[in-house]
Formats: sequence, structure tokens, C-alpha cells
Amino acid sequence: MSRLSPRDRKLLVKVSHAAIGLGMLLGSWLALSAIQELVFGVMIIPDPLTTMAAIGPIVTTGIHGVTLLEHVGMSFARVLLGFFLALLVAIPSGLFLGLSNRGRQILEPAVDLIRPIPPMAWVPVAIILFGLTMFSHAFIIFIGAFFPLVQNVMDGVRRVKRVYRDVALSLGASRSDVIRHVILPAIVPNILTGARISVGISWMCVIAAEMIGVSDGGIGYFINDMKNIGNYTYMMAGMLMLAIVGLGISLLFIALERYGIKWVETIN
Amino acid sequence: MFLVLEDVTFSVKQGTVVSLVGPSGCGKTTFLRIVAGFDAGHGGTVKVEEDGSPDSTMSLGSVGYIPQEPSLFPWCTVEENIAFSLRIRGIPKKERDRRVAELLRMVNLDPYRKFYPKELSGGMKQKATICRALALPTAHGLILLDEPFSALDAQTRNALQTDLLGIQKSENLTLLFVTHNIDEAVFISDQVVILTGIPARVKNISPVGLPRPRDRTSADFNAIRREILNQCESIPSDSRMKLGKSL
Repeated sequence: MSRLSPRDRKLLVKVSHAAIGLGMLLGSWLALSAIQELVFGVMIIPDPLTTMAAIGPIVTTGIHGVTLLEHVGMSFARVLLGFFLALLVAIPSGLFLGLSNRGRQILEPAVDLIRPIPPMAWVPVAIILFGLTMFSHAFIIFIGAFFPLVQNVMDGVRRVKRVYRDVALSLGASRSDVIRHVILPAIVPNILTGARISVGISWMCVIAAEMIGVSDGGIGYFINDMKNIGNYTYMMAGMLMLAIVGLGISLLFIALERYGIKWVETIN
Repeated sequence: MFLVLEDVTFSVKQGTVVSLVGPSGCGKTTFLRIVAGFDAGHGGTVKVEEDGSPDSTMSLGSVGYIPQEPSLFPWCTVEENIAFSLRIRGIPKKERDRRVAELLRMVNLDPYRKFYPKELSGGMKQKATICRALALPTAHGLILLDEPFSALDAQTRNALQTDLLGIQKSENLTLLFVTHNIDEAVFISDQVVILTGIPARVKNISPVGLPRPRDRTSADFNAIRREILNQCESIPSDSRMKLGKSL
């Protein structure tokens, strides 16, 4: 029998640990649906196998003429629009707040006042301003995604070591060169951290907005609709789909961090 | 107003190495930053004389500056770090690559050109930092070094001192070198400027007329080292430099 290399052994241990965790989750889910069937005599929450099996038909044929993937696509498009708008505004704003003491002193109190208002509290404002359109979602997502991004960019700018700016200036860089060639590359890890948090919040916002009826489509709408018509298997399948999308986004960020910012020193 | 430098007046000839020693916190770094052009709010003047006529062209970006803390940009590879000044001045890529390759060969770092700073040893990082400061010609070949080898072990430090002198000779550089280490100052310098405690004044300028390469174990080397040490020790104890291993 060939021996495993230390790297392969490490990978095997990692995969085994992940399998144990997932097994525990599936076991708990299975036990919960069995217990509630035993206690109430009816299976309200379907077991994992029934839920997974339900994904096939709703992905291919769908319900009321709309497939689950189309609902996911609608939610995804709303998230992308709101998130990219937030990114577009937050990066220059964070740079400005990080670089200008006076700007920070003037604007930070206003930002601190608006930040604690939960994004969902902006739903009435969004509906008044944009009606039941994609822009209402984008506005709510923008509010949710903007603040973590701007905070991370501002903190990142303020933490760029002074020695990097000094050396760049001594090498003949202008102030705009310093922003372009020193500050911006130095804060890429902060932008990624902010983006990761913001994307999570964006998904929460879009699902909640769809559930409270800011639209007639999207994965949040689908889950709520299935709850209303009593199809709990499809409701759970929709939630499972959300988990899969979330996992995909997490993997995308892990890849970005691993290959996009491989210069960052990590603590192992 | 807090007076840091009172009378720090001395001349540096082009193509020579001058070390600046003095007690911790006496203003050596402040002095270097003034020469580099970072701090303009001072009462003195930094003059560059060429062919006898005063020329005040020294400004931020015109002289090389190597600070005490690690300063390689962590997001750039070794070659990207070295090419930084060439890139921002719009030097064509072909010419940039040629100059970077030349500098990397000079310090034996060519196999590490694609490495990030986190993948280099302390000595390699300092070599790359020196190359970055040399990528473009500086005004009068002046490079300012603020305790560049202080964080390195003795063996690496000695090797880098020799490398630095090799680079200085081949590129005809003028080095203004701040150090705490008397041994280092005597090994590399043509003259050693001794500063007093704060506010700093020039206490003495000691020429080091030994032939190169210098032998640290020779009687002449140790005589000069002892003389500079004695001068440093005569600085009042509350502001005297921490001599550490250099004793």
C-alpha cells in the first residue's frame, strides 16, 4: 500500500473533519423531523433526503411556471446591482474619509447616526422612492452593504504604514501616485473583508425584502410562497438552495483571498 | 517649541561614506528626514555644491532614502519593488526590466525576483531595499540610510556591510549612514560624525583613513574604534547612546 504524503494526509484529515460536521448536521436534521413526526403525528419539516429529492423537479419544471433557478437568478441580480453600487460609492468614500482628517471629522458623526438604522427599516422609503421595482431592492441592499465596506476601506487606509508612503515619496511618487500605487493595493485585503461581510448582509436584505412582499419573485418570495400554500418540502428545498448559493459565494471569496492577495502574511 | 537639532553642520564629499552616531533619540532620524526633504519646517539649510557654485536642487524624491523599519511593499514582488520608481516615472518596460536585472545580479538576488517580501530573509529584504533606492540615479548619487542593518544578526550585518561598500564603489554613491554600531561605522565610513544628546550638536568629526577592505581585528581599526567610543562615552550619561554590542 502506498503511503500518503504529509500534504495528502493533511487534506484527508481536513475532509474527514468536514464530513463529520456535515454528518452531525444531517443527523440532527433527520432526528428533528423524526421527533416532530412522532410527537405531532405529521411531518411538517421534511427530512434531508425528501428535501434534496425535491430540488430536482423545482429546478427543472418549477412552480407556477417559474423554476427555482430563475428565482435564484432574480435575487442574485438584485444583490449584484445593490452590492456593486455600494462598492462603487464606498471605495472612494472610504479613501476620502481615511485620508482626510477634516473630512472624517465632518462626515463621521453623520455616518455614525445613519449606520444603526437596520436596512429593513428603509423598506418604506425604498417603496415610496422606487415603487415595487428592482431599484427598491438595490436601494435596501446598498444601505446594508455600504457601511461595512466604507468602514473597512477607511480603517485600511488609516492603517497603511507611514513608511510605505514616505518611501514612495522618496522614490519620486506624487500624492496621486501614492494613492494609486501604495494605498489602493495595500487596502485590497480590507476591501475583500468588507465585501465578504457586505455580500452576506446583501443576501439577508434581499431575502427579507422579498419575503415581506417588495416583489413577486426571488428566492425569498419563493420560500414565503411555499410556506403560505403549505408546501414545506419545497420551502425547505428553497432554503437548501440558499445554503448552496451562500457556500458558493464563500468559496469564491476564499479563492480570491488565496490567489488575489497571496502577499498577505497570515498567522498559522 | 522643542529644539531637536541645534548645530549639526558638516560637509559630505561626493563618492564618500559618512556615518552619523549619537545617543538614542538625539535627532539622527530627524536630521536624515530633513536631508531627504520630508520635513521642511527647520531653520537650517541643506546645500549641495557643485563645481564651487551653490545648488539647492535637493528635494523630496531626488535622493535615495532607506528607513529603519522594513519598507518593501508587501504587495509587490522583489522585481516590482525595485522597478517602483522606474514605473511611476513612465520608463518603458524593456528598459525597466534591464535595470532591475542588472541590480538583482549585483546583489545575487536574481533567483528571487518573483518572490514576495514575506518569503525573503532579513538580509535579502535589505538588499532588495537598497536596490530599489538605486534603481534611478539620485541627486549627486546620495543615498540616506537610517540604521538599515540594525535588525539583522551579526554575520548577515557584516556581509551586507561588505556588499554595500561594493555597490557604493561600483555605482559611485555618496552614503549618509545613521548607525548605533561603532564597529559598523568604522568599517564602512570615510568619516564618522559624532552627535551630542538632544538638542544635537556635532561633537566631533573623526576621519577613518584606513585602507579597504578593512580588517576588524587589526590594531589600527580597534584604535579608531576605541577613540570614537571614548568620545561617545564622554557624552553625559542621561543622553548617552546605548552602546550595546558595539562596546
